[in-house]
Amino acid sequence: MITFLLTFLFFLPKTLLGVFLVNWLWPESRLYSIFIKLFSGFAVGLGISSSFMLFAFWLGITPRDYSRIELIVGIFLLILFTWLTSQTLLKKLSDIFLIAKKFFKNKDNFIFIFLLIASLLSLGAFVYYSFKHDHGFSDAWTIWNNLARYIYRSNDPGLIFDTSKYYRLHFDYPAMYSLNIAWVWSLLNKDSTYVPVAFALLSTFALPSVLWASVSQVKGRFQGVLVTIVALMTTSLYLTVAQYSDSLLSLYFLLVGIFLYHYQFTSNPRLLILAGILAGFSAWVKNEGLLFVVVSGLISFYLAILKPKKWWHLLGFILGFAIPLWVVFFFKANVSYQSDLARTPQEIFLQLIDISRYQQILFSYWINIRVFGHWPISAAFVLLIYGILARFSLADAKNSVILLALIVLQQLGYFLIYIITPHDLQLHLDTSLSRLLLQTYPLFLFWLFVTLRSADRVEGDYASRD
Amino acid sequence: MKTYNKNFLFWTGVFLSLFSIVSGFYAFFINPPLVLTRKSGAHEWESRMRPIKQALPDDVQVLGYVSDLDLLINPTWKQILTEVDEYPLTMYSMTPRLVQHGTNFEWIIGNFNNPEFQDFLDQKLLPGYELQSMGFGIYLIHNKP
Repeated sequence: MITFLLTFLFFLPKTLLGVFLVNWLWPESRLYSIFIKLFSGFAVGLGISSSFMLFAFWLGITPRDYSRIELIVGIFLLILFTWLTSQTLLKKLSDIFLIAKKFFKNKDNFIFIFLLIASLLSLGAFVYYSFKHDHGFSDAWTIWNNLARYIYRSNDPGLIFDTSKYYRLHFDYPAMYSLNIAWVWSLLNKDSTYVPVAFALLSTFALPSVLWASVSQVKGRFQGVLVTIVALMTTSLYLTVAQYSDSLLSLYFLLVGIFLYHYQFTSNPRLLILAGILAGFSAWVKNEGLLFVVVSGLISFYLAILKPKKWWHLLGFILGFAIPLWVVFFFKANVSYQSDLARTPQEIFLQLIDISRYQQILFSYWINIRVFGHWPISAAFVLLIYGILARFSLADAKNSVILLALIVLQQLGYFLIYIITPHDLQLHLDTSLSRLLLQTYPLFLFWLFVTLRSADRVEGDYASRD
Repeated sequence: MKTYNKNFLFWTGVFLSLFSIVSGFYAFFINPPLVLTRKSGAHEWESRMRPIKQALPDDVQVLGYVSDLDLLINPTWKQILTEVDEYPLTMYSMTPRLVQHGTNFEWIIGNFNNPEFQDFLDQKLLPGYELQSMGFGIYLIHNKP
């Protein structure tokens, strides 16, 4: 159990350093922004730490040495940044306490009790099943924790680049997840299963936390609590307990959506840099992130050219994703990258004109959306009824169209990949579609709850947000 | 926004929250996905591989792996699916040693329930190979050169 708690502590320096970077780019200090920054800091920290770890291996530094060096340097930098910003930090902290005090004094929200119940149920279920399956499920053994084990147990910096020395179901799958697990194992000097369990918990519950902060900021506290309860109670336990990287990926997708959403109102180019960094690091979590870089790049381009004389803001997005994406390509180039989707143009053409494949994929989408969340009555149906009753706010629907575009374009990309897949289509759908839906699900919830009318916020009024 | 609209939105939200909690409770505890309630086998496999790790010399970096599937000419899907878990679990447990499918290795892990496996080994391995049972149908085979 101490290992489980220590894991959270070990992730703290890299998370806080990430917060410093995010805060430098986005120095807003409203209460909800601080929560968004905290989880963005976690996402950015994981990305930077694992990128440095990869280059340390390339330079011949062993996993055990690197993990200690990073922890010491991280704590030193943290103390340095805290000292350098102590004047403003103390003022900000006292402001936060004042806002938080005011926040909890408001007694009109008995719905917070529901939030508490939902949090306990979701967290309790996650912990119960995670400890029952502390090794996770098959992809954890063959892809994510598998590589982490090889790195930790061999303590060989060259191993990750030499695919003849280890087994991984897909050698080219990005390594951020595995490197972060290996990093903690190397610090602890034991490969405890509590570490991936704690990491999965952080990745899973970061999502409802970010949704709470981001929706509360835009649509008020009531709407924020609602979306959090729905997110908590639709946690796809069989995919998160499994220690797969999809929920972590969906955190990056969600944060990119949030920063792009805020950019369209503020025209702050630094938000595009942040969106770019997070989009780039999403490709370091899973290959689907590569598609997301293209999709979010298109949306950023659209947003930048909409604003008079602001097209150059797009450079911020490119600047943001350039380094993370370079890390991804550096890794792939060094592990003899070979796509398992490679086809000849003729084969692709034949599959593109096969109507039955479209029907088969659409049917699988329908089934997977219908059972998502495993509720006795389909969660999609319940949200649809709620949407009809609460009704969309036209002004907010217009403001959030970019979020919908992110989801639709990303899923269209997946749809196209299914059309041209060289694998057995049904097997491919059965083994991956639920995960692909999970990846955009938090972004979907963000879109839905900022678009629907709220009980405590005037519609379309971005300026009145907390 | 009119007051009744606000009230309506508030009570619709309260209803959605309650419905979500009840449905989530059902999905988590009453009727969870089968994969969560049954054993994944990873724990058991870690225990089964422990004696192999203890018996192997420290300098062995690469091992072979053979199983019942190698004895079959036309394996059924059920047999193949069993292998889908057991072979990767063996590789996962034996990390950082590399486990590769086949018999062209000095040290081999055998995973057999089919009693005819010894005939298969006699055909495939060098004469005088050593077979050590580790329980649960797991064998450590020393294919001495």
